[in-house]
Amino acid sequence: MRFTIFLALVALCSGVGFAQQKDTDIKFRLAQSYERGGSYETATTLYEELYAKDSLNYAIFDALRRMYLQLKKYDVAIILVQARLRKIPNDPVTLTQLGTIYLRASKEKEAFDAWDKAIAVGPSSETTYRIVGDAMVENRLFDRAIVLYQKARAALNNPGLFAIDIAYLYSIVLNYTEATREYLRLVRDVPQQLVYVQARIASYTGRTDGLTAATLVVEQTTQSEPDNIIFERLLSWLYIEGKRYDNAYTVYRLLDEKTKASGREIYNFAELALKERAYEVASKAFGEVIAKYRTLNVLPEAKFGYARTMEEASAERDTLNLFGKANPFSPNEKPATESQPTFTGAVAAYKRIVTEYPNTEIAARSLLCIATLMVDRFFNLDEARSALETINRKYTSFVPVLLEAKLLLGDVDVALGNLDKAEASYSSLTAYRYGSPEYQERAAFRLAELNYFRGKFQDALKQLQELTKNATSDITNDALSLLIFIQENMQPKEDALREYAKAELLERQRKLSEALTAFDAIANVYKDSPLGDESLMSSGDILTHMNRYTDAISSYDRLVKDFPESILLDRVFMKLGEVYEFGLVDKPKAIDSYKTILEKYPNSIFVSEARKHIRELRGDTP
Amino acid sequence: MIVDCRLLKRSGNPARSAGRIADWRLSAGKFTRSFLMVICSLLAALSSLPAQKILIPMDLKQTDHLKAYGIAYWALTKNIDVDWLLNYRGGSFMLDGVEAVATECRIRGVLFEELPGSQAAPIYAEVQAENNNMDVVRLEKAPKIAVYVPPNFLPWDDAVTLAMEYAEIPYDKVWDDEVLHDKLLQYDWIHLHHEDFTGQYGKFFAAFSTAPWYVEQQVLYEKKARELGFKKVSEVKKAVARKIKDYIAAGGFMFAMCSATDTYDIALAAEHADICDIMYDGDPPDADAQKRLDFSKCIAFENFTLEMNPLRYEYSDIDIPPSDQVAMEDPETDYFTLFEFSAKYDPVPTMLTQNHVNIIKGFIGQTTNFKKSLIKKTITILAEKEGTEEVRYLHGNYGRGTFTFYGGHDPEDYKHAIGDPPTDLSLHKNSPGYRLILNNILFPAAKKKQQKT
Repeated sequence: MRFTIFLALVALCSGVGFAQQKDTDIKFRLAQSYERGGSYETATTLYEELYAKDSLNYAIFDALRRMYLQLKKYDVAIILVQARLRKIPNDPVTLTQLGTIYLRASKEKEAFDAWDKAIAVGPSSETTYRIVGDAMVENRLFDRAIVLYQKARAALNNPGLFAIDIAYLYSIVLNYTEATREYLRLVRDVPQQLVYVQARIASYTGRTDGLTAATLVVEQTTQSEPDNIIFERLLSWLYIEGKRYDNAYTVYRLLDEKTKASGREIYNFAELALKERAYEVASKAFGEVIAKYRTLNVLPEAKFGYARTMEEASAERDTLNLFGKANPFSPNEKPATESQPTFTGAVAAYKRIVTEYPNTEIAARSLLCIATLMVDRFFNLDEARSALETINRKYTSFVPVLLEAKLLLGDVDVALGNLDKAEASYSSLTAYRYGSPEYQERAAFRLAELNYFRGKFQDALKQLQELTKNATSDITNDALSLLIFIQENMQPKEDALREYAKAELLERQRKLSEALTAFDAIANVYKDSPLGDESLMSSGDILTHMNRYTDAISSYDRLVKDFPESILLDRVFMKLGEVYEFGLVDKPKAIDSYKTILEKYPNSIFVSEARKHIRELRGDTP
Repeated sequence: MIVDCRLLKRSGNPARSAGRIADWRLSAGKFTRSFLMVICSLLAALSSLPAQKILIPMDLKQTDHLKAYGIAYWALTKNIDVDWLLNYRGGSFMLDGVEAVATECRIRGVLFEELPGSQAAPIYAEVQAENNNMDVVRLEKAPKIAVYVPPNFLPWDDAVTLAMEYAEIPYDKVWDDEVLHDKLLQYDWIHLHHEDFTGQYGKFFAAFSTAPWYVEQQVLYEKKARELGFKKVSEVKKAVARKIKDYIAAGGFMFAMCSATDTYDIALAAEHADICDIMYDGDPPDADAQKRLDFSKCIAFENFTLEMNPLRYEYSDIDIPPSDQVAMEDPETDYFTLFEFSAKYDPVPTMLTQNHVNIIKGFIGQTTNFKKSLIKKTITILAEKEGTEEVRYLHGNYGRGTFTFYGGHDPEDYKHAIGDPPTDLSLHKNSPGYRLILNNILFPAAKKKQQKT
């Protein structure tokens, strides 16, 4: 019986205690709900009631502290926290919270004192510094947090401590120099972090000052620690980010040496530089690989890359193609009687590849490049022919190269005047089953052109009409252009058109003086023909290519005078403008020519370009 | 002059004849004088007839409306007279027929018509006729323009600077230093960028708090606040807002778009209230922030309710529809209508609403439209979405100056988001939405006319 009563009493006490706890929980949750709903005053009242019953409960204390802060009742919050400190002194978390409250109350000195006290509780504990540092960061005292973390390093004798935090904080306050130093410290200690560090530095290298600062720091570090290749890698990456390819090349060379990569690093850099169009340095890098690393497995590619850089380095683009594909004002686009050292070097490099790596795809591509250079740069048709015939005989398994070679062979035969042979080459392409339709279309267009040159206009028209059916082909516009040209100029008689076609063929064959004579003759003999203005235009173009700018201007001026209704006039004034601007370097006359387009031909397709030129010449480009 | 000798012949009385001769001489003299006066007047009139004029039409014929404003501005800088013909062919410009103007129009691609004086005069007559809702406003001088932007600002982030860059209208950049040191007084016109004057960094915290640009912006602004002696960014912005208000009162002109509109007034109203949450200014907002707002300090809005949720992309209920509900808008049916005003009696709103169309396609922004019921009664509404509470464009006076608010971010980008590519105005040369911006730029150049009563 007594035992039973005892058990009953125990149960009753437990029940009461449990019920009381349950009440507390419910009240706490209610307070939390009010807090979440934004009813901070009501929540505070509930928390205060709970705190009065159980002041040691951390959850209640923290909630109440939070509410006082929310309501900006800083003085009351301070009292609350100090009360807790009296019960649990030397708690770094509570001391840190006190510091935060003082700061919010604009009592900075007291805030810093509280944080100092927090540190003093555990000066040898990393966690203590972390707690206080986090509070500083939370209150956006980044500079102070940096100082604190650095103090922690000294106190804990760990120079690498908090590296990521300090680096990040430095980058936030835009001190990229120190941020980079910290990241280097990290990667020095843990080289596996290179990718991570690179990503972190990349967050500010998009800014000019960030990139400059980072590069300078890494440069200094590589000088002071030349044996650590991690820094060299970072530096090479930074140089490429800053497009300082020459500097990057130097670093890659060092890397190659230190890692004993036998040229692989330099080759990788050369490919990257080529892609970035840094031809000069790419050429140097490829050259070094070829000269020094003969056993490298990518040596053929390196040699090909070298040849390509030499070739690409001097290519300039005239996007308007006003004077045909070649830009007559480019020093590198001379009539093909001059040999350019750059191109000669490229040709020699390609030839070496063919000799050293026969019957490979790279040799086939090299032969094609030789042929193209021979045609475009040197107009050495015999040598071009020789290279193309070699492809035709020995490299038939490399289909794309073969098809391109066949097309070019046809072009060479046209230039040599062997129209029948050219026809054979083009016809073989149109019948070729395995190539892409693009080659067939291009060959078909060439065949139509041949008929045009031969004066077989009806045949040409039929072929061109077939080509224009496919509106999506690259060749359609050219076909349409020639089709309309033939149709418009066949009437009333074909004579003028026949002469014009012959003159064009002479021009294609680069027999410029003969072509000039032929065009002039058309302009004089067939005065009533619609081709009079075209002929004068062609004369002007040829003279421009021959650098006879004054004569070119006379030809264009004559066109303007003799053919005041010509549809070519806006184009003529554009050409006049360019000849004055780039050929004779006569700005006022160039501007006048361009202005004429704006005044007289406001709907011309050249209006935007004319405006652009005028503003550039005036020096007021918007 | 024909003398009627019959008079002389009929008269038999010599005295009478002598008198008649004297009369004749007198009449002849009078006639001669009158004749000479007529000749002189004609000559004077002929000489005062305007010489060649250039008309830049602003109707649907114009090839590049936006650059046309640039031409007008450019002409003013060259001391060439410019007349703005309100409501005539879309608000056309008439300039002296100087060859340089014609050349510049051609170079910039602006359509123009060369008119002899005899053709220009009837146009002026038509515009000034009493029964036509048109008028002529002489533009006096090129206004000096400032744009309030932070140091890391990019011109293509803001529709106004985009428009000015395209129209080739120069402007200076100013920021907190210049405003607080009274440099604004040097300018006729200020544009407020898309600044958040409440100090909440555009309320981008929820979406972009860790984005490098956001972090950098916050650090920059805080650094600037400290340099200027302020504890919080919100306090700096409020001080700047008050300074701008002083500038308007002194006769300046202010133009604001998007979030710079409502946040400006909110900042003025919250002079004695902390409305920013802890992530924006380091401490929670005042619990009674809403009650502490003083609407009498606002220039455009009143009785608005703040949006106190720091994670919600909205400042108050001024903006309509709320920014997080605009996804429900259909771009194809989103338009607003320009009001028509009397050119002769209300030249200012007329200038600000010049356009070649009167229904303009909508575009959204952080602040898109203004709720009508929250706009002060003294404000002139220039455009709204008909049949709704949504006001797009408004104008008001404060002190000796004026201000205009225009909702939305970019008239040719319906929903411009952070990181989107900039709008290429060469593809929107005739944008009616952008014309409204440029109307505001030219308006301060107008000569102040005596108001008709």
